[in-house]
Amino acid sequence: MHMRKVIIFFLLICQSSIGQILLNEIDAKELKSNIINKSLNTENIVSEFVQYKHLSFLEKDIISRGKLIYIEPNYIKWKYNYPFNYECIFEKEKLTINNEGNINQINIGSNILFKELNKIIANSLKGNMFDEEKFNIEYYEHHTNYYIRFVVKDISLIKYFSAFELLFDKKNYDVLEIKILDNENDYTKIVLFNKIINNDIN
Amino acid sequence: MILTKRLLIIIILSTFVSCGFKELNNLNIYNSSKNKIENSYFSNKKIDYNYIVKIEINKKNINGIISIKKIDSIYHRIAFMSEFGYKLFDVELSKDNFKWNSINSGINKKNIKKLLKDNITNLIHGNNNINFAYKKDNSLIYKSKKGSNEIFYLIDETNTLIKTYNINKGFKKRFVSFNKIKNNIAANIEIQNFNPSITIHLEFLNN
Repeated sequence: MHMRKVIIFFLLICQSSIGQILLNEIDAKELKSNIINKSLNTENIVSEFVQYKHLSFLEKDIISRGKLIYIEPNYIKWKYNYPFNYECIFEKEKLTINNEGNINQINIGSNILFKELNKIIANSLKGNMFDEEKFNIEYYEHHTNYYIRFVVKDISLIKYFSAFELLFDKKNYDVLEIKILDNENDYTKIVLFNKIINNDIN
Repeated sequence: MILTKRLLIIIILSTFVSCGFKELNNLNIYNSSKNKIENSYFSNKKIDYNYIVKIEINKKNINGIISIKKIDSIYHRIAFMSEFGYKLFDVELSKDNFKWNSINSGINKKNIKKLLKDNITNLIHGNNNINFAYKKDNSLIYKSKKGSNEIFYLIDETNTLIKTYNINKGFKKRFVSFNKIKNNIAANIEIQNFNPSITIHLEFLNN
């Protein structure tokens, strides 16, 4: 009995120090269902973002900023305004790049990387990427957030990414952060803010 | 016999016209005690040398960000990423070794890898030993020769490295121009490759 108390005490210390608790199956199922419901009601998203590129050998992350527009089901526009003016639009199987006035259109139908990246980002923005054939999924709870980790198991994807992590607002199941892990050391983190959902977009 | 001579003269003349950098004409030999040259623009271990990259090839532009970091006295680590942050290649460069940590399958081709390796090596290291020294106007030019590869280092009157010229087997390969130099950082760098013609612009990213 005494030993059990000691183990529980240490488990509690570990949990509070890590700051996140792995959800049990019932809670994970409920969270997943709430996120899917939210995503089904999402027709468009307009948000500002900050992108942090973390490379383990650098002192500081490389920061880019911009605005993104997502329109259901497969239109995503990334408009970078720092450190460069650069715009790219993923729409269906086409990628259009506007590089300071030079417009270039690329068919991404045969490009696995772009096709999957486009799909993953679209699903991440809505929060709905619960594809258990492609990912091992772990659900965690924070004080104010939920955090879901998608570890890539699909061989065609694993050479590009090792995992994705999404951070959700606990109150409304909005996606706050998307983290794409290249490997265990390097990642790209996109933090969304000033997000407007289902507004009129002309 | 006359035809052979003429042909030889035409070949020699066309070689002079096509392979030389005009800046390297009319050099006067200079007696220098210096026997090594360093490129110090990527030498501070505390600095992340991040640059916005614009590559012009066949009237098309490719953009990205390159990160160069001196890890220790032996090697540099270099990674190139797309605007999205997706890593296209990751290499380690030391004086005698060039190691590929990763490369995207779309650019994992022998000729592209050689071009990248040559450009990165020229940008950061080049050859270090000086074989000849020259003087032209107020500038000094050091020549470093390794096999068929020759690199000329142009040093201005303030003792600053401002340009390198790379010639291989007598043909001009590329030049690297270091501009807007402040606190030993070249805020603007231009690399011009010849055959194939590829221009690479680098702008220092201070974030």
